[in-house]
Amino acid sequence: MKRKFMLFLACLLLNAGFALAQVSVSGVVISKTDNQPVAGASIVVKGTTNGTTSDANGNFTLKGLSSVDGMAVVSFIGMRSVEQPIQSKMTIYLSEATDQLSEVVVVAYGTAKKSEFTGSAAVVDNKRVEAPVASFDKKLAGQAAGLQVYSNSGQPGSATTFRIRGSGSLTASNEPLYVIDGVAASSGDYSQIASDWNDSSSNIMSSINPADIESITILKDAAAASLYGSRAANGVVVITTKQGKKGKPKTSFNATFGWASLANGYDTMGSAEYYKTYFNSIYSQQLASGVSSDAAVVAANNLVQGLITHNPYNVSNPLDASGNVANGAKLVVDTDWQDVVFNVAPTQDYDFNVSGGSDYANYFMSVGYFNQKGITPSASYKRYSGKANVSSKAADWLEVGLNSTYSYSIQNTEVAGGAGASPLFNALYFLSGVPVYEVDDAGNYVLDASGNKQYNYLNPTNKDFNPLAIPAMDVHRTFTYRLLASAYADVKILDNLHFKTVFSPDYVGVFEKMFWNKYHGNGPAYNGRAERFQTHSLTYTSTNTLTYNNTFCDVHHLNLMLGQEYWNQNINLMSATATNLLGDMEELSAGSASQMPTSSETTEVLMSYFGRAEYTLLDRYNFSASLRRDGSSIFGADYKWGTFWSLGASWQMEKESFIKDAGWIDALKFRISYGTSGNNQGINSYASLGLWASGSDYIYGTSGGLGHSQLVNTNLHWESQGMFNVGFDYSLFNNKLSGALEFFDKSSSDLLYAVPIAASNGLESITMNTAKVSNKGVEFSINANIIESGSFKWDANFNITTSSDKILSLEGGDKIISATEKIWREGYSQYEFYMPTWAGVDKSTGSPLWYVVASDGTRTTTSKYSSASYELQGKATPDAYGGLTNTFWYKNFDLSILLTYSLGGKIYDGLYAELMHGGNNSGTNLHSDELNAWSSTNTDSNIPVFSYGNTDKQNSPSSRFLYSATNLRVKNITLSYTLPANLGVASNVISRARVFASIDNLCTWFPGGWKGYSDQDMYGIGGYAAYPSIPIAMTVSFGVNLNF
Amino acid sequence: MKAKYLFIGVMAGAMLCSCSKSELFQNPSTQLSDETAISTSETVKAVLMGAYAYTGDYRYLTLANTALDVMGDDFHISSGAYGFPTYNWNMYSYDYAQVPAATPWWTGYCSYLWRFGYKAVDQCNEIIANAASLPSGCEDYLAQAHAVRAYNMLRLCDLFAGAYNADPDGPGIVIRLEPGSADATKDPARTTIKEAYAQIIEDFTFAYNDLVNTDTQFFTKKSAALLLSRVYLEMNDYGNCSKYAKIAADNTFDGSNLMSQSEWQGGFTDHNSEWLLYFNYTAETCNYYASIPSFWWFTRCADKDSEWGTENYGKKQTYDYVTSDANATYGHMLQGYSTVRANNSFVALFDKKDCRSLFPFYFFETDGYFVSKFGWRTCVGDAEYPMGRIAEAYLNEAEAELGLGSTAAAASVLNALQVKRGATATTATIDHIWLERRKELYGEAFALPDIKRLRKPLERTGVDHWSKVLSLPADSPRFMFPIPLTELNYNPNMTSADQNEYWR
Repeated sequence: MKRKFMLFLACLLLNAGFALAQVSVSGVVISKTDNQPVAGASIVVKGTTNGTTSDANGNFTLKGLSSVDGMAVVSFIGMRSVEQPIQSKMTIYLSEATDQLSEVVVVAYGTAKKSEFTGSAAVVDNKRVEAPVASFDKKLAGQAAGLQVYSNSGQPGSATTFRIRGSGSLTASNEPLYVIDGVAASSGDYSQIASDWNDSSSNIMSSINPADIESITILKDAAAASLYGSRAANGVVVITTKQGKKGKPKTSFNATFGWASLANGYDTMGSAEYYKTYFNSIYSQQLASGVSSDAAVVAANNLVQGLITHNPYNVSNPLDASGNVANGAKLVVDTDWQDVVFNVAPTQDYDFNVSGGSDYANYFMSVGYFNQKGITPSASYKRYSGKANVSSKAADWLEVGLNSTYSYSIQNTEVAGGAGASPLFNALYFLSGVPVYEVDDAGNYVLDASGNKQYNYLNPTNKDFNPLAIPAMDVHRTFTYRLLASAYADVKILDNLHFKTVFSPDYVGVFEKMFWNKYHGNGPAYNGRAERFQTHSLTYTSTNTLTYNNTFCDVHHLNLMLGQEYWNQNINLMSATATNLLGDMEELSAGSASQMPTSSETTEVLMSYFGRAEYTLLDRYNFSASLRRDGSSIFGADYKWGTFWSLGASWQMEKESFIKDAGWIDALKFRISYGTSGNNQGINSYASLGLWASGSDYIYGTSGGLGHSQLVNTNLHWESQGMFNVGFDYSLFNNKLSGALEFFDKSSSDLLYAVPIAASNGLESITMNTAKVSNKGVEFSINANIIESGSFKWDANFNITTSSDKILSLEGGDKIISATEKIWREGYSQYEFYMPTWAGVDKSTGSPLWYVVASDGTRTTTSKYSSASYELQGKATPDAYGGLTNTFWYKNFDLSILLTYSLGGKIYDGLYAELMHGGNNSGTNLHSDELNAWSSTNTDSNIPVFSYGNTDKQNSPSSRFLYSATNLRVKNITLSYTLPANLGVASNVISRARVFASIDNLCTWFPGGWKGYSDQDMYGIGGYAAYPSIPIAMTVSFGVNLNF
Repeated sequence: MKAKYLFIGVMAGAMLCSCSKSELFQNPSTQLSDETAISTSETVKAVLMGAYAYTGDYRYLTLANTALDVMGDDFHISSGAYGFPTYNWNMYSYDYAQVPAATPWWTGYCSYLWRFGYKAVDQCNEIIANAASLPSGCEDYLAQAHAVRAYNMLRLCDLFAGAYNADPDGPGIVIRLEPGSADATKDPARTTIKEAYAQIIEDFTFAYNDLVNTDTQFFTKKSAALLLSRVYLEMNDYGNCSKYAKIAADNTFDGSNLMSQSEWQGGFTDHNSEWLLYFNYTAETCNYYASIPSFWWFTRCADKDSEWGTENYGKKQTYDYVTSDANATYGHMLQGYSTVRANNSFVALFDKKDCRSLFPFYFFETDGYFVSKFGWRTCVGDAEYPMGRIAEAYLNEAEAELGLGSTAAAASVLNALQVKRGATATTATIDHIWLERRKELYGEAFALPDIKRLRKPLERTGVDHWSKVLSLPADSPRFMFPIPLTELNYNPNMTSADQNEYWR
């Protein structure tokens, strides 16, 4: 590292030395953030008044120089000033002054000067990670303190788990509110095929082209977020899309190509290993039952082949009495199913936009095309998007505008989870002795009449499936149409008094096709099945605000806002199914039998009144207060309305003389806030009512039925949250170091959750407001401008968040969440693992052992799983997490390396457990570790004995499969090169060109001995997944940005 | 400037009349409320249909009935070792390897059985608890609700409790008589077997007295009588058993009201006059691979020369031969899971001419025989399923008469059944009657309940039983499923001491 640094320094000096004597120099000023030219930047020769400004293309010419010695000082509002040696041809990069407190941040119902803001908000850079992804949220991991982002699946277009300052809810949603251009937008999953049918997901945020996003602000504390009332408790993500700026039209074209592949698979047994493992066990069992050795060999070979459903060898009795391959026997089938299922998947991403503006109007228009294939046989996502944001100053008292996004996307969902049709499941658990294609005894392909290979569907794992064939024969496709628009008018009533009205329709239309072929897999039982789903969601929001802004006597600055909002969401669902399909047709019309079609309509209404006051004294003491009253249709008859409020204060200490004198402190702001908010997200619209559902589940014979589906609760209401936040924002040493340090204490009460009730009630739970959860933590971020010298710069951003989450109270005491092997217990995390403790292997018998804890605390061991004691095993949530970004610029190159890390916490490898069944689950492949299982000659093994027909439950959930979740991931490395400003003839057309190469998810280091996919995201916040989803792939990509 | 004020005026007006508080009350479009669910006879019927639907849910009826057969002596689930993978369905029931936790699902069947049994009970409770306020025209639905509730409680006793005959004061089940409630303090404790049976008899008697329905896909007076006879037999109350068996069989025990041999061999796909109660599965509601026929049926015979009654019937075959196109078509082959096998030792008990000996072939001696009792109509699982047949009334009557000391009457009834089926007549001893029950009622969930009721040991013989559990003593605590943790953990009136003995 040191040597490289010296090299950079040497180059730097060399450059200065070769400077030629000229009277004028020219150059270009470029923003590092988006690599766009900066118009209007000031370029001044240091120590003189000689200077100029850059034109619309960022170009400038400095004239009247006596020599090329000296330094140029380049500055632009909102960007960090740069000093650079004067050269004949200069390229100057300006970075955004994110560390300075002068910037304006987008906040609830408006903007705020960061220096005066009393709340906690983080502006996140969504451009740092260049690998193409369908939705912006997947890029944000590790980039802001207090933010956790998990891509739950490598399914293109799938959902992301997003947590702002931990999980404040037990069973309602923990996902934030998304506000796009000032309006709460539809988020979450609208697909029935992806989530309801195939254990995967789709993400409506994927309908927004990430390239259209100008900025993302995360509102974290009450002072920042609680103006959103009953929807603010999980934090708010405020997205602002690009707007045109005054000036001549700018055109830009971006293209990215990527290739994704599986980084790491499980080390499963090969065909010969699996055969021999079973053979040995069965052979010895046969001998023990008194059969002769010869008969035992035949029986064992016969049984193993029956278990595999194929003979992977070319002779009928390939193994002999000693377990060796007999003379003439040869392995002819050895399938690596992970290799069969996972492949290299390409992505293309194109974006073209034009923007500009005049005194009276601004515009930004874009079109985009994104096409991503998944690394499994049929997963893919394709999006066509268009955007037009226009605004006009229609009169001196009236500004009107329209922001609109249209997109059309097609997602092909790979079946995930434990379904027979899931290639993810089958990739891991299919036996290597099962061939992909039909083969004869010698292992040669059995061709059909046309000479083609024929898929083999016989296997002991999933009846009539083949993970390569079925995805190509069945269809799981989601078409999403989205129109998100917001029209606004801002009326200046008086100079200080504005009225703004916004009307925003958000339409999501989803049409889905499911088709099960009649030949193999799920379909034959129906002789082919076609299913169609439609979802029409229309959400509209009408917001009216009145804003008053004034300064009195130069020292009192007052900002008042009053508002009213109406939100209405109407969702219509429809589905229809036809079976017994004619020929190879896939449509409903081809069916001659049908299942009952369904439809339903859901309406949810939220009406609100709110206000905010901000007061600044002497430009340094800032106070804020907000109040919101929400009425929601989803809550019980007795609790329709709730009130939420916040108070905040901040102190710009750098303006006090005792700090000013220190000199090295550029800015130091102390902030403190407290407020309340609610969470109504993720709750069924009719959760408070006692209900009887109609539907196919309750039909008897040909008579329609009703099923008791929900118990009444008229007291159901929002989850309440109180958040305390205190912190400092700082900027030191001429802005070389900046960042924030803060502490938060989030207390969430009245948590809605499905209180489990005794199963003999006929229902398993009732949703009530009972529990209380606390999330506390410290967030620290530092942005360091380590070196900034001429053509070399090095910036580093580091953030860390410590977190501690705890259940404070729980109605009725402990709740066991067996679906994720957790327990909810007061005083512990809601992600606390709860399962028997592994005690190793009985040396004398090879039996698995678990601990039994007597009531007096005495610990003994048992080999009977159902007698083992359940114990707390630690939480899944990390103690600390964050990210580190190092960015280097050298001349036209820049290199950015993003690391994310997580410290502490546990993760359960259920997939590995499944592969370590020790004979408990015939028909499921084995991990290679099973080769080292206990035997009479290997009594020190920590893997219990393998035996055919085993029912010792050795791989049932226990601490044996819990690992430390601590990890360090090389999330992204991007190297880019900006072509010289002078590209000859091309410069007439192209004003700027940049190329880059990027690697996403290069590798992950798990010090805890993790054996699985190098991906913890798919296990989510809870560190547990019973079944696989598509692992997050390693992606290599290349791209180009062109400006015209 | 005028335009400005006009604009502001319009906006302010729109704001003021934009919303109405009544919008905060929204109702779902596809669900009824507690009040409206039992407001008309149509909706009361729909609630009752929901109870039937739960009674036949595959997570309950398929799992429970198959378990109750393969936990006996005569059937087993293929070990998965002969090319018929079990996919874990029911092999852990057969192997007596159940656990009280809900996961992994294949060893946690008890939580499904319990849950869906009580869902059916809850549906009935909604009708019964509101009996006084039901709209007119619901009298028969009320009677049916009693019968469905009793049927499910009896099934839950078979699965989760010991035999009445062994210890009537032993732990029974949870008796739920009120609709589900969030108030856990109202959760009933586990009652004794005696109390459970008293409730079952009360419900069936109510149904018997009030039922007027004659459609046998629902409970009728006669099927209520048959169930009463079944319950009284489990209690060794031979007088009542005989009384209701006679009612169920119209006091006709000459064989004339039994299925013909060809009907018996027809695959049990459609009800007939012998079926007093059947579950009306249709192609849409049968659950396909998860249905009972899916686990039992494979094909009727190996080929056209191996029909029932020929020399070749019951011989060893190969998979490729049986599944070749011509043979598959001939045998009406449809491979579901097809994993239930009859044991060699059981098959050997049948006379060659016994029409019930539907064991067409086997692939491996150690894997047992395929069984062709339960077939299909249009697709896997599409078949009606018998829940009460007159043949059972014969067997109940025979056993009751024997218990009452009328050996001759017992033999007469037993022999009428045997002759009708093509079997050799025997004397009416308790073991002969039990053997006849096994031959007649296999696949209809009597194997384990009979072992428990008759206080027999589990005795599995023959090379094809692969389980480690080959014998269990009479009254074994393993003859019942564990009480699921989803009940034990959340019912404040139950403690871990309420768990069945083997899992405590």
